Formats: sequence, C-alpha cells, structure tokens
Amino acid sequence: MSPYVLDCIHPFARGPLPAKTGKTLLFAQQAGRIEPRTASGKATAWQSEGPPQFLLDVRDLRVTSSGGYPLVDGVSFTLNRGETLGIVGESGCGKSLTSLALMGLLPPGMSVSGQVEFEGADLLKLAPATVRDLRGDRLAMIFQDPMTSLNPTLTVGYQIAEGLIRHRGCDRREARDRSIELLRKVKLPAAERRFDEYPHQLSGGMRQRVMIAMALICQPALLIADEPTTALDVTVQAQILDLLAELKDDLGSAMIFISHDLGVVAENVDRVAVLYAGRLVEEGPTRSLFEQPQHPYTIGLMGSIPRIDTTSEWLPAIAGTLPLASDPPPGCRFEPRCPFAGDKCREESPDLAEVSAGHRAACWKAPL
Amino acid sequence: MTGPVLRAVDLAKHYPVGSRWFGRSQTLLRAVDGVSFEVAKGETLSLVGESGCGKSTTGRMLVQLIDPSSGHVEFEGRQYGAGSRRKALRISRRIQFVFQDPYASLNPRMTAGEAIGEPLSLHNMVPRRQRWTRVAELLEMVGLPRSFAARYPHELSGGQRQRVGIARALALEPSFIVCDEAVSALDVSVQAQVLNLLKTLKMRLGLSLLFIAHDLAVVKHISDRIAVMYLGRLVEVAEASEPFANPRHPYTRALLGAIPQPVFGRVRAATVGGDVPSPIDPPSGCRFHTRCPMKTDICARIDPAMETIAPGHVVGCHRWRDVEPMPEAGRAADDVHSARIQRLLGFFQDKAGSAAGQQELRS
Ligand SMILES: Nc1ncnc2c1ncn2[C@@H]1O[C@H](COP(=O)(O)OP(=O)(O)OP(=O)(O)O)[C@@H](O)[C@H]1O
Ligand SMILES: Nc1ncnc2c1ncn2[C@@H]1O[C@H](COP(=O)(O)OP(=O)(O)O)[C@@H](O)[C@H]1O
Ligand code: SF4
Ligand code: SF4
Ligand SMILES: [Mg+2]
Ligand SMILES: [Mg+2]
Repeated sequence: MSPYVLDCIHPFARGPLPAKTGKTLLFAQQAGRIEPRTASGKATAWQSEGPPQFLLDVRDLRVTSSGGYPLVDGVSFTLNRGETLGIVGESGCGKSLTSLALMGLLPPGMSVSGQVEFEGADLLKLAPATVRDLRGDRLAMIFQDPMTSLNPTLTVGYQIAEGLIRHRGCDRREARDRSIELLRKVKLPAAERRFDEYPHQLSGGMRQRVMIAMALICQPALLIADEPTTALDVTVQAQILDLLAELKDDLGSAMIFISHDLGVVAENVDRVAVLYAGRLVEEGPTRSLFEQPQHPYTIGLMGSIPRIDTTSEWLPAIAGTLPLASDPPPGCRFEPRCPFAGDKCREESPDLAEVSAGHRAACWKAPL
Repeated sequence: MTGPVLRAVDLAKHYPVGSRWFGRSQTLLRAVDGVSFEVAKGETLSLVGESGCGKSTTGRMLVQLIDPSSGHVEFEGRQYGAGSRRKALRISRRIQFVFQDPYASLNPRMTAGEAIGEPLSLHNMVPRRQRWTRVAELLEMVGLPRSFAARYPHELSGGQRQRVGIARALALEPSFIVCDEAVSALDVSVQAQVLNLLKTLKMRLGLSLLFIAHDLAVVKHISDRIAVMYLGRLVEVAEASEPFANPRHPYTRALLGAIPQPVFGRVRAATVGGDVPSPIDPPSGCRFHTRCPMKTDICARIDPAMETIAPGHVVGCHRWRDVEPMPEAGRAADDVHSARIQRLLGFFQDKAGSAAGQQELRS
C-alpha cells in the first residue's frame, strides 16, 4: 500500500508552515509518524452488535499536555448520522486538539481519556491499525491550509484516487473516473485537465476544493473540517461555504465544522458547540443559539463580528486573552474577562445545564 | 479635516515576467495599473479587494518599500515616484507600515521592548535615558502592560504581537500609517479588539490611515472612506457608509454578498464565482466582465471611465445605475440583534479593549 494514502489525510507539513496554524500542524505532523496512543492497550472489535444510537458519542473527552495541564477538559457531545455540528471558539481554545483526538492524531506526549464512540466502537480503545484504516474511509478530515496537507510531488488526481484504490479496491480506471466525477461535483473548473495537475498549479480556493474531494471520495460517515475557510479570501470562503452546504444534502455524511467565526457556522450547521479554554461552555440547536445565546462568551463572540447591516460606531469586543492552560482561573474559566462575573464565579466552576430544549450553557447567571 | 496629507497620482507597478527576447517587447504583470487617491489629515481610507488585486503593492509604494513604475506620491509636501532617488527620501519616518503577519514581522530574538526601542534609537527620537520610559508609554498606548517589554514574540498571542507591531510603528510619531491586512490573520474576537484600538489611536493622535483588507465588513467601523480595488485598478470610492447602503459597482456588491454574519436563517446575497484573472493579460474592456453577473455587450469592448455619481462617490461601471442595493443594509442596531442581545452586548462595550481610550476621548 502506498504511503501517500496517509499523506492525503495527514497534515504532513511540506514547505513553510503557515503562521497561524503552525502550532497545530506541527504536532499533527509528528503524529503522522507515530502510532496513536490508546487509553487502554486492549483493542475492541470495530463492528458493533446492534445499530448505535448516535453516529458519534463523545463523553468526557480530556486531552492532557505532557506537562499535565488539561488542554481539552471534559468535552461531551453527540452527533447523529448526516447531522452537522459547528465547533466555535478563539484560537487556542482546543478546537483542533478535539478533532485530532477524534482522528487518533494527537501528538506524542499528550494523553487522552474519555470515550469516543463512533459507529458503535470506542475509537480511543481501538488498535492503532484499525483507526488508521478508518481514516480516509469512514472518518475524514479537511485542514485549514490545503498546501500543507497536499503532497506537492503528486498530481491532485492521484491523491484523490488513491483513497478509492486503498479502501475500496477500485482499479485505476474506475478510480480515475469516479475522482473526476467528484471533482466536477466540488466544482473544480476543467476537472478532467486539473486531474493531472500538481497542487502548486491551483489557486487557494481550488486546492481547498481538491481537499474536500479527497476527504469525501470514500463517502465517510463523518467529515471533520478544521477551519476550512480561514486562510481564504471572503469571496472564496463564500464559494466553499456554498459548496459544503450543497454537498451536505447530497452525500449524507455527518460533519463537524470548526471555526473561530460564529458567522461562518451560522449558515451550515444544525447545532453549535462553543468551546472556551478547553471546556464546552454552550451547546444547542443553531437557531436557539443564535437567537437566544446564554453564555456571556457566546454573546461576546457574536458582538465581535463586524456587521454589514448596522450603523453602530464601535464593535463590542471581549477584553483580555485566554487564560494559560497551566494556570486556569479557579472558578469559571471566563471569569477574568466576563462583564457579568460575580463572587460565586470566582470560586466555583459552573457545569453545563439545560436552558431550553436541547440547549445547554455553563454559566451561573444563565439564563441571562 | 483639511487638505490631503497624501496624494497618490496615477500609481502603477509593472513587473517584467518571462525572458526577454531580442526585438520583442517584454510581457508585463500589471500588479497596480493607474491608481489615484487622496487621504486627508486624520482620515482613514480603506483599500478592499480580493487576494492579488494589488492592495499590498499600492501600500508598499506609499512607504517606498517598492518604487512605482510610473506615477508618484505626494506626502507632506514632498514628492516621490518613478525614478526619484530612494535613498534621500527613505528617511521619511512620518509614514509607517504595519504588516499582516504578526508572527513573521517581529524578530524572534528581540523582546517587545527592544523591538519598540529600536526605531527610537535609530532615529534618535528620545534621549537614551528616557528610552525605556517611552517604550513603556507606547506599550500602554496599545493596551499592553509595561511588563510585556521583557517578552519575546513567542511568548505573545497573535493579537498581542500585532499590538507590538503597532507600537513599533507609533514609536516614530508618524502622521500616516499603512496597515496591510493588520487584522486579517486574527480571530474575530481579537480582531475586534485591535480594530477598536486602531480607531482609538487614530482619533487620539490625529493619524491618517490607509487600511488594507479583503473583507468589507472588517473596514466598516474604522474607515472614513472606502476604495474598492480589482485587478490593479480602483472600481469604486465612496464615504464609508455608502458601499453598504448604496453599492454602485457589481464587484462591491459581490464583496458584500460574500460576508458571513452571525444570524440564523439568513440567506447570503450572491457573491462572484471563479478567481481573479491573471494581471499578466487582464480582460479587455471592463476588467471585471469575466465574472460580472451584470455584464452586457459593451463591457468586454469598452473600459468604463471612473465617473463621479454623487459628491465623494466615484465608480467605474457602465451599469452603475442598475446595481441593486443590499436587502439588509442600513438597519438600526436594535433591529439586527434582539433587544436582549443588544442590552447584553452593552456590557461588553464598556469592557472593550479600547475602553480606556474611549474614556480619554470623551474627557
Ligand atoms: N504541542 C503542544 N504542546 C503543548 N500545548 C499545546 C500543544 N499544541 C497545542 N497546545 C495548547 O493546547 C491548547 C489548544 O490548542 P489547539 O491548537 O487545539 O487550539 P485551536 O483552537 O485549534 O487554536 P488555533 O486556531 O490557534 O490552532 C492551546 O492552549 C495550545 O497552546
Ligand atoms: N515581486 C513581485 N514579482 C512579480 N509579481 C508580483 C510581485 N509582487 C506582487 N506581484 C503580483 O502582483 C499582484 C498584486 O500583488 P499584491 O499587491 O501583493 O496583492 P494583494 O496584496 O492584494 O494580495 C499579484 O498578482 C502578485 O502575484
Ligand atoms: S459563570 Fe460567571 S464568570 Fe462565568 S460566564 Fe457566567 S457570569 Fe461570567
Ligand atoms: S462595466 Fe459591465 S462588466 Fe464591468 S462591472 Fe459594470 S456591468 Fe459589470
Ligand atoms: Mg486550530
Ligand atoms: Mg497582500
């Protein structure tokens, strides 16, 4: 089996690391060469007995740094088949680590605990080889910067078709035809000609389309898109968002869509989860979250987005920065930046509690 | 506001590409192809357009990081442009540049204090003994504690690095700053802080700004006027509220249509498909005609001239009268957010990164 299959899926960094994603990519790159660690050595069979209730059931996911600090701190959520979940939060809040933990791609030295049930099996307990087989097949991921996850020495067509050859046992001819068909579906202009081109011959938007095709070629049950539009111009971002919305209905894959921008997830997802300093602080159906946000952090994030439709003079902004993972505030993690904070917030950390049907928030003052 | 502090007159930058053949003229990449504008004292002009349309090249010509192929810049009574000797003019500390990438633009081996202090000593801005006092002042001006002087870039977040970059530009007490995508690499939350900071500084110090971005919404709060650029040319220039309330160029409208907003169930207006064409061989006639949803027969043949359609509103399109307004423009803030969210956001306004600056302005 060609080693390049992994290259399509893993963010092997080639060329300069983009500044903003360097941190995340760097450890993903290391992870590509290392077997993922499992919480217990014992592997369970992937096949489940009966049909699982959820496609993905994440319970109390914790990622701890080599220094022993909690980076992802007890995150739980579920995802139904075909459903889309947006994960939102500012840089460094743990979005990428959460998705890398699901993919079994955490960097060496980090430890992970909790449960990640996917199609009836706990991904954290599966043998590394089994997880590797799932990646690119049942589970796929799109990264922020396509250039670091595409292999510059191989044609884009080869990199897409390889997934079919490896996971589906297609012959070259059929793999080529199906890849070109998918490239048309992701609206790559002149798909047939582009099939034989190299990544550097494509624009940023076209590369991101190729990445999407690569992730979708085996019709994964779950697609994780980690800031797939952050490195792009607004116009190209809009094109990619439109494309993802179309494909979502078409392919039936469930999707986790990660962004730092609440505006970007508003269009495409069924539910939204807001992360802050490694914790889930609010989660709910998209409508409820945008119309009745309950956590102060969510409200602040919403205000930070410049609006095209108002005439206000100033942008409401959240003051300050994320606390250090090595030195988290003792009570609510958002307390040092929260304009609603009170004494209790300084002392005790709030748990997620239901504020309306299917909508949870972790704030002592909720509902605000 | 008085007369212009800076004037760009027919600026162009053409890069030769490919090899030169005897007797054959060389192919040119027209990065910037005849751009003129003025910026008044204390004014912010924003330059908006997609990647590769020539925004950075324009900004760099203003600060003499790049020599124009033709045209010139007039700044505070001096003139520089194609053919003028760079050395003599390079000394201009009155016009400064803030880079996009807060990670790459600071020397990793210099503390924030050293980075800000360096231009102070190079230009002898303050006596040696007062240098650190001035560094501390500059840090506080950009909303960082004095203790950050001892930190290295890797010990700072993206937003903090960008603040250090701004403090460094302010060290030379410029009257004009070019901010090239100064907030594009930042998260929305940090971006809001830095935008508020820049706006506060500009008002406090009477700075003029050229603010470069690819997202129209981002420049909205900070601009007095907005210039939209496409493939090396300006296509629409107007007061800051106009492109939102009354866009008159199909490209401006397409840029607006691309902007995501945190609203449930909103249907985004149409944006443009495809990529910006190559500046090596730009389309004939109107350069936007290959992507324009409104193009007609004449568009590919005749290049539309820039036309003043209202005081301060200039546009280059044959069909500017037919451009539809945005469906969601010009609503009061209360109609956009529910009254509840509006009230809750009020608490953040008071705690904003610029709160201190805003108070100072009021007093
Ligand atoms: N290799 C590492 N070693 C130690 N801590 C790390 C490492 N990588 C990330 N972290 C820390 O883990 C936390 C979450 O990082 P993560 O990269 O998941 O954030 P993110 O939300 O994806 O942000 P970004 O958009 O900047 O990538 C941050 O506090 C970060 O500093
Ligand atoms: N040194 C250079 N040599 C050749 N082409 C260049 C050079 N610098 C910029 N360009 C080209 O000029 C055009 C405008 O570039 P730039 O001003 O950097 O765009 P923007 O800042 O809007 O992204 C692009 O097509 C770019 O590739
Ligand atoms: S618990 Fe307190 S500090 Fe935390 S978000 Fe709620 S009000 Fe703010
Ligand atoms: S001149 Fe024609 S092609 Fe150009 S923007 Fe106007 S309508 Fe579109
Ligand atoms: Mg990330
Ligand atoms: Mg640029």
